[in-house]
Amino acid sequence: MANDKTFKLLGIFFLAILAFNFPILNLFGKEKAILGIPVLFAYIFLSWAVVIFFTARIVESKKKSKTQ
Amino acid sequence: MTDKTNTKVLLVDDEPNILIALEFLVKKEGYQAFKAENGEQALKAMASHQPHIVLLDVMMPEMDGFEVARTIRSNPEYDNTRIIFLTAKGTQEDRFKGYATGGEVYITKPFDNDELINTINEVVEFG
Amino acid sequence: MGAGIIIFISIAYVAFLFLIAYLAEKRGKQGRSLVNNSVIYALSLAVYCTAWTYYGSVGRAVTSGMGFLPIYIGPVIIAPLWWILLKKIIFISKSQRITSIADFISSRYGKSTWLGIIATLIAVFGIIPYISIQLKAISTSFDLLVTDHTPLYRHSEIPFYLDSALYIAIALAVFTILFGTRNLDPNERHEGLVAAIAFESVLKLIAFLTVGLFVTYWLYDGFADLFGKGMSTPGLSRLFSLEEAGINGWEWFWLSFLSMSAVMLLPRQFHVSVVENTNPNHVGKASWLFPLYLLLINIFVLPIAIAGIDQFPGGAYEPDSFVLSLPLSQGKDILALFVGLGGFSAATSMVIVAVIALSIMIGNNLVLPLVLRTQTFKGAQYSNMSNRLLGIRRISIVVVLLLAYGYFKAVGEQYSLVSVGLISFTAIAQFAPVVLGGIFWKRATKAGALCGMLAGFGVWAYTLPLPTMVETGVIPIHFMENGPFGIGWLKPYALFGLDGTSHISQAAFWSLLFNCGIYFFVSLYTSQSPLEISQADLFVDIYKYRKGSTDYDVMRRQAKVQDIRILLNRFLGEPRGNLLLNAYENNQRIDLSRQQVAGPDLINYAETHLAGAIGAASAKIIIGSITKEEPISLEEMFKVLEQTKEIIQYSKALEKKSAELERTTMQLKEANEQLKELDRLKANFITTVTHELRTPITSIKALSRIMQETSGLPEEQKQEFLAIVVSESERLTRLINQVLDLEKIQSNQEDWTLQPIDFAEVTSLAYSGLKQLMNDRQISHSLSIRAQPLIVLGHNDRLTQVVVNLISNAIKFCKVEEGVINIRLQKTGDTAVLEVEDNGKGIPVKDQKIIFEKFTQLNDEARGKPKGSGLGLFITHSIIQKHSGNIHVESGPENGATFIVELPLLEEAGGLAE
Repeated sequence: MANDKTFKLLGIFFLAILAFNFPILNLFGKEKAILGIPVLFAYIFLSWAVVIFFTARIVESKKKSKTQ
Repeated sequence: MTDKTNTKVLLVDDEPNILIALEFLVKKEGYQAFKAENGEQALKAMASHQPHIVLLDVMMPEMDGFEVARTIRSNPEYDNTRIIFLTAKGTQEDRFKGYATGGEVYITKPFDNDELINTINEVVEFG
Repeated sequence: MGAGIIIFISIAYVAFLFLIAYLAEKRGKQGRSLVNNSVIYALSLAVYCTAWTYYGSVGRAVTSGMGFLPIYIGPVIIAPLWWILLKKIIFISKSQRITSIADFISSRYGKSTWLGIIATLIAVFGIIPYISIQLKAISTSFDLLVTDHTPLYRHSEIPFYLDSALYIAIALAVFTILFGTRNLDPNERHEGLVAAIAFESVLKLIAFLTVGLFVTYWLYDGFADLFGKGMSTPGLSRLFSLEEAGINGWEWFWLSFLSMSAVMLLPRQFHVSVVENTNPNHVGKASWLFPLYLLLINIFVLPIAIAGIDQFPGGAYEPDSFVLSLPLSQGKDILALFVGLGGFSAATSMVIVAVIALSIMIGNNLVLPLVLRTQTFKGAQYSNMSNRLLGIRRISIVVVLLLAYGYFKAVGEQYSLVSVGLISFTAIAQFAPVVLGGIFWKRATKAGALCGMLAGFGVWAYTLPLPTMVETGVIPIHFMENGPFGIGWLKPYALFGLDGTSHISQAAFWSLLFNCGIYFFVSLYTSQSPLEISQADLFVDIYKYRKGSTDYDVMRRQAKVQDIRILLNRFLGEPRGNLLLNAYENNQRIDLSRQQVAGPDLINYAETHLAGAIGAASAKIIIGSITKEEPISLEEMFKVLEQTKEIIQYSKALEKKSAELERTTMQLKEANEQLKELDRLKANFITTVTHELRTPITSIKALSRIMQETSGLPEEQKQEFLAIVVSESERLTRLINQVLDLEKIQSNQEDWTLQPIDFAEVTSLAYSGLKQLMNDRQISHSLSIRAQPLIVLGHNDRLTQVVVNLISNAIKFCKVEEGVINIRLQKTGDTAVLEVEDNGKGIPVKDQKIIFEKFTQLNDEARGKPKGSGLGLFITHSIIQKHSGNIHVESGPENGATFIVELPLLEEAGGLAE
């Protein structure tokens, strides 16, 4: 079952573990704000959106090729 | 009816005593007989006498009967020559080998004198 | 607002939910399922977001800023893996008709009843605090909506019959019973429930987004404004940094880890994501839609928290109720009511699904196995079992909700929603090792799973719920401060001296450490039963089994068809039972009414369908009551073993066996080769002897006949023929003698007493015997004896025979004219060496060994056919061997041959020969 899709999803999983854990998270805990939004808040929700985006791309793209 | 006195028979055996008996029998029937004690002599005799029939012992030193037969068969000049094998082994396998190498008939030693002569006569008559 | 209105709206809302459920089920029956849809599936997963999310997140954010987030980050991290993990679990569950997480665990480890019971207990005790916080949230929001402020009383202080929370619990029990136990579906699928849950998920999201937008954009000027306020307020800016909010990496890691396992293993999550799943491919869309849902429902949490702190500086409202109190304080009653409805839907969806999931577990994995253990089910005493099953479920629903109410009343009130919820998460995380190990590690055993889960659960109970009992007075306070019996390292909040981390992370760490470690090591040191082996194989290699090959039967079982029919009718109801059997008949093209005995195939079929209704372990017991199990045959055992190669001890034994087999095969092969060789030699011997006999007979016969039949044969010729006959007869006699001779030597019939004799004397005697013959043939010959005497231990006649044979051979093979034979005898070291040299054609190197074998030299055309039996050299060789000597030949082409005999000399014994 180890196909391309599996590896890509595993990749996102491990990247998400890194992105959503210390010490990476702590880099953003410095009270600074961009456009009035705290950096940590922005970082977390943006990364969150990125994970959703890539998961969707991988999962949905495979569906197309599956129906071929 | 073929004229027996004009029919040449080559006898090949490495046992001189058997050759003596064969020569006596063949000559008595009226054929011309020639003797050879081994394959080499046999092939020489083929060339010099052009025999119609070859009575060929299988188990001989140097060159065995099958090989002699193969050599004879490979020469188109001898197409009309008929080969009769004589053997003391007489196994089924040898029999087939004999036919495969171009022998017409297979006679097992010790042979019956009348049978031998009859066989030769038949071969001479019917080719 | 009046309580009556609120109650009315709540009831109307629930009625609406029923309508949705009813419509969904109706459509499902018409084959136009609403629920068979990946978006609905993803929304149903959002049952993850409960009152905890709805109210509790804001409360948590007030104290620890972003610290509320790991609960949602965990699912976001794990969601990409659903395509791998969740799908596999769904495939396994569908093929095994698994009805709950407890059933899954029990089924994986050999359909173990005990494991099912333990898992059920962990789930029930683990989830009760979680349900209790939903009760708390509903009743708090109810109080708030009615009185406009946090009530002055505490639920624990008022009598239960006046307590709104009790009535809420009872109402929820009624809803749940109505939703979940109207009929018994063998697959435990409830389309109506799923549709209602999905609707509730939509409602709670819209309600929360509404209040978020209201706070952020009506009350304030957007995110930047709110965050700006927060950052400029002293004491609030810390909320934007994790470290300053008191969250460290360790804490963060454990919270996200716990929620990762919770989102997959919580009984209600397992129920909606696995049991209610209609199509495994829905997992794909859910793996990004669900994180998106979480993102949306979380984005306004921090703004609302800041707004709440900003609006109520004096702490007029509990942070856990900011979501509701913010619109209330602005006089937006309708909005508040809508928001309250959202919270109500968040709480009810969780309660309904969780309690249904628990009741299935309690019924199938706890009550039924215990009931079944005590009776056999052949008789009719369990008629209408399906009603009894529903009864059990209904009772368990009520019991679970009352327990939750009890927990809420006893301890729940002192703790925030989140801290109580996390207790449940930690309990559920105890399933993670056995589930993950179960689907990837075949070697994991039942004993390992049982010990691991019990250890983890024990540590959990000791470090989390136990301390919460302190407040109720059940546990004395010094127990917490000094540890039990004053043992410091056993303090529940600082187990083994692990201090300085939150209660949750230290509990999670220790419980999972013990759980995993014990699971792993016990598994390594225990073995699996055949059923465990086959189940492990089915779970781990589910994809292999899905591709065609059906699972093998571990048990060969037999039962009466009639018994199976009765069982199915009793447990599934008659219509459904008949339907199943008809389907089976059609599928297999057989007529069951003609059969008395059901084979393993039908039994498995019945068992899987029963498992859908009552769980794997119960189904196994029930089926067991009507079947005779034959012990597994050795052959089947090997089949199982072959497929579970990890079972080291077995495969080692097998390896050994096969090595032995291989060795035996080799030996047999060798023996066979030897036999074949012997056979070949024998055949050779016979043809050769035949030939050798026939040759003289041919001459004798032909010539005798000639003499007999030819009259008047000249006397001279007659004499010649007679001489030949005589000589050929002699040849025949010689041959026969030699064969007999050989036989004698080989079979040891002769007296082989060896005596010291002079080999030189033997040689010269034999030589002089043959001198005349050599002279006759005009062969020049010589004998040189360089040492005398040469005493050897020998047999006089036989050694003479050797020398005679060798010289005769030389005579036979030397040149016909100018023949030369030289014989030399000498002493080399302590051996006597005899050399007989001729000047014949010689012997090719390849034949120099085989000429000593029986008859081989006869076929040796290159050397010329010997005039004799050809047994001579073989006899010579045999005799020399009997004298512990050896014989060989040296020869070059056309150079003649020299036969060399070596015999060991006797110790100089003082000239015995004299």
